[in-house]
Amino acid sequence: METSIKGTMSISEVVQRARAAFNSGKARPLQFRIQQLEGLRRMIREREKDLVGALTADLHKNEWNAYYEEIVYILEEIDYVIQKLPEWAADEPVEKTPQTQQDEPYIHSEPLGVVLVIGAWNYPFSLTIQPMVGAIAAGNAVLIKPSELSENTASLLAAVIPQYLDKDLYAVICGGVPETTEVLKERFDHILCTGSTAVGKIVMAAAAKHLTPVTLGLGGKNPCYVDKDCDLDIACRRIAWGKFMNSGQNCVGPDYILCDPSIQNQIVEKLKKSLKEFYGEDAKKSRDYGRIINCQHFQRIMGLMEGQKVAHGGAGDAATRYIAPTILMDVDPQSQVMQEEVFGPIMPIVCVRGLEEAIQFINQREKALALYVFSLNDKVIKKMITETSSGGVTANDIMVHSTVHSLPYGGVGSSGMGSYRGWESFKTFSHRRSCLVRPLLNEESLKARYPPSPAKMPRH
Amino acid sequence: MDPFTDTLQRLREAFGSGRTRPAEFRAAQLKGLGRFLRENKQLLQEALAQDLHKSVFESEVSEISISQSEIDSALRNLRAWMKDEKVSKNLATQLDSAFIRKEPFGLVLIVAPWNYPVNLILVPLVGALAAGNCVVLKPSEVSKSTEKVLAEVLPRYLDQSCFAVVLGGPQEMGQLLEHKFDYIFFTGSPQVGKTVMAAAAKHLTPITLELGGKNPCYVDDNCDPQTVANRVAWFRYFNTGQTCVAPDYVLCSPEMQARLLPALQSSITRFYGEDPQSSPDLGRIINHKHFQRLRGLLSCGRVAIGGQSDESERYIAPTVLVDVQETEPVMQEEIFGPILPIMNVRGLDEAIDFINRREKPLALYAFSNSNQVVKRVLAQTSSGGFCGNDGFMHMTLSSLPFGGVGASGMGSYHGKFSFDTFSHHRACLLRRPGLEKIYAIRYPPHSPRNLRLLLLAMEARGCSCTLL
Repeated sequence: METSIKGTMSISEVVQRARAAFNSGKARPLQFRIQQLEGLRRMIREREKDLVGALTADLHKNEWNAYYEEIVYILEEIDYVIQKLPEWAADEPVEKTPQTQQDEPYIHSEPLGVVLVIGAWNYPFSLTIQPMVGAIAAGNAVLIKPSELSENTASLLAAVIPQYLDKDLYAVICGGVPETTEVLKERFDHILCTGSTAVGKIVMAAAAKHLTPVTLGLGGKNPCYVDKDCDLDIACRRIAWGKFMNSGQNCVGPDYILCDPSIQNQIVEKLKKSLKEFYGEDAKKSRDYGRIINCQHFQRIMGLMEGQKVAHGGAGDAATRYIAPTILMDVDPQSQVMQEEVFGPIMPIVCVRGLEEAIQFINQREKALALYVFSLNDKVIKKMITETSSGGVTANDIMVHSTVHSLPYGGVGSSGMGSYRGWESFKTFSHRRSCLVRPLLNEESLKARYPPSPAKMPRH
Repeated sequence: MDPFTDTLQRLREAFGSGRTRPAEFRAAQLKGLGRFLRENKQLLQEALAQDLHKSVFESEVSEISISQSEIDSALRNLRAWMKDEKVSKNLATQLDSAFIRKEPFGLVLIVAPWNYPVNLILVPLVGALAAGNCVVLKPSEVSKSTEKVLAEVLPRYLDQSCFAVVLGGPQEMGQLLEHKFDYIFFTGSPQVGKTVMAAAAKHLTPITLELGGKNPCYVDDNCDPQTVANRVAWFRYFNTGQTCVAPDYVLCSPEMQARLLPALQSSITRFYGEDPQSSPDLGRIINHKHFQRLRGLLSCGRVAIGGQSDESERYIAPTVLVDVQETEPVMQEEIFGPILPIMNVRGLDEAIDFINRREKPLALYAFSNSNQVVKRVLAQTSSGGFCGNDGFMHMTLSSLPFGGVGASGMGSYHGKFSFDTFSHHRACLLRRPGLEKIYAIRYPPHSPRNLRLLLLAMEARGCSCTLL
């Protein structure tokens, strides 16, 4: 088993070492945390090429994708967190009651201890490092377990993190299911996991044994409702962009479209037009189009097309794990492609008559991580948001809500629990401790509270 | 088919109908809850007296008043709390509308313990109702009289299509937990907390766990022993010690112990008289099982004050133990009774080490004339909450989140924190369909020129590169 720590340290030893380093108190001073975050930033800048190379090898991401989809976010998050950290870490005075006018009540933020971050393979860098940024800022020791499916990124992280960050406090554990199972037996003070619903349940069950709080970023079928009253050119361009980015392997990508049958054909045509603009006649030749992570997912996604009306695409090449951008029409809600998260470059279109039916359709299903609604009519947008639930929402675009630092990023129901990003991360990885400090004087004023109870109070 | 299926189904359908969403509905429920307290005050006091021999004073101060003020606060602030929370935007989202929408989770389960059977069920209920959820309450079967009032009287004041009280013991709890809830709020022991979390994991249900621990109480040499004794004694023996945030044990030097003991005796006599058993202000142990458990603890160390017990009344005298070993049972479990062990340490460093060797408690106390000492204890330990120079007063401010950390729990509530706990915070971004030219750079094909532009933007400090 590969770890970032040289020699043959067991997982247990890595965790103990991180805990001992945390207990030494060295991660408490803000200056230390900021230095570590600056180290992370330096790591990214100095090893850009290696990072891009790893992402290309894992997911056929080119430079643009790598920077734009992953690296830029992390650099922004690091800058934002460094800037805000003194403010976030400061004691927060709160409103006093009449009885506590002479006292100091405040909320004091403290690190939790040793945090475990389990990453996912689709954005193997950002989904692992972004939570790590928050955990470091909050003063914790952090262990990361990148996904073994994106093995190049995992190996790279294992190699470079110890070169730029404190080796005892921060470590990388690599491996698959056996190693993850072993890690989950250890006691952590918080676990953040990005992955499937099934993995989420396993992580939470393991955490329950130690009463470890968890943040789970899971998945779901993110609905995308396209209203009749809508600028279809713009809507379809934005949908095509958000859907087929990273070859559809995007937890906040639109999973399926809901629309009135009268606009289905137009949507198909405009999606096709945008796809051609983005990736040319043959997406396989485009430098900007990704590949499926592995053979197992390739087969799974190809299987979802069976029995469906393919309006566009449909081709796949197992050797390169390429699947063409594909659009399915008149999809039956009972069919397989509507039973699981697609997580691939297939866009099913399901017809519904009007907003009410769309809302009903969405509410009959599990709450998704993201919900999208395209309309020129504010009332439609308002109704859609009010009458459904999801982790987050973007109206008239895709994914943007998940990029704003001041908005929490997280799911609800089976799409997850808890949230992170920016200040949310800091809070997630901190204990916000209620404090009240009183003077040891003024005993006279407290006399009224002590027994014996006043004579006029009825006794039993 | 278990006894809960129909009830839960009914509540789920009610939630699906949207009935609990409007502010008017929620306010009506909260007002109903307020009326329940006002119209049944005596009934509740009697039930609490039957269950715990709670004095009217304690019932008023720690159960009824606290619940009432949470209701009042929720009614006053409901609309403000429900409002969308606008957030700051970056350069790329200046023209958009970005906010956090607070939404109810759906079907909430609140499981309450027996020690503050009114407060610990109604205060979470206030939050769950204010946040627009449908609620299932599971009061403790151990505090039987209060359970009866909650089951038979409370529902009359609330809309019963959206609210239910379910009864039972551990077996029924097990059955109940097999069902899917959208949120579970549990107050109880860490052991049962683990069971609840494991059950919640099967449905990916988010939870708040308010658990327990051994709350240390450090008493510095630099302090007035009588003042400290008054405060420690009152908070220790309140509700006969059956309080999750009570000071569980004292840490002090042998010198301080010698000064503290007579002071504690003096406080106890002042509060409960020469014969505490006849004081109306001292409660009783909840049941026989706990009485036996606590009586067993009386043989740890040496009894310095109290030590008497009376099985027929489940009475245990306010007791102080000294010469206790760390390995003895009284230092191995949460005491949850009117017994206060004093452990000796030589100085602050040893006290802090002692505390940090153990699980993080729900509360931590430090008494000293020196603000520096108090702040040091705070800085070098962790706990759910902390009070310097008093007992659990920090709980009385609804502007402070009340909750544990580590083995003492996860999540928090009171005041707005309750509302936020029972709400899903949904990130919303509303964009206009226009201005497509601004976003054009993000679309493929990605030219080397665009990449250079992006990298330049990355170099520029304070500039948002997420040109979405």
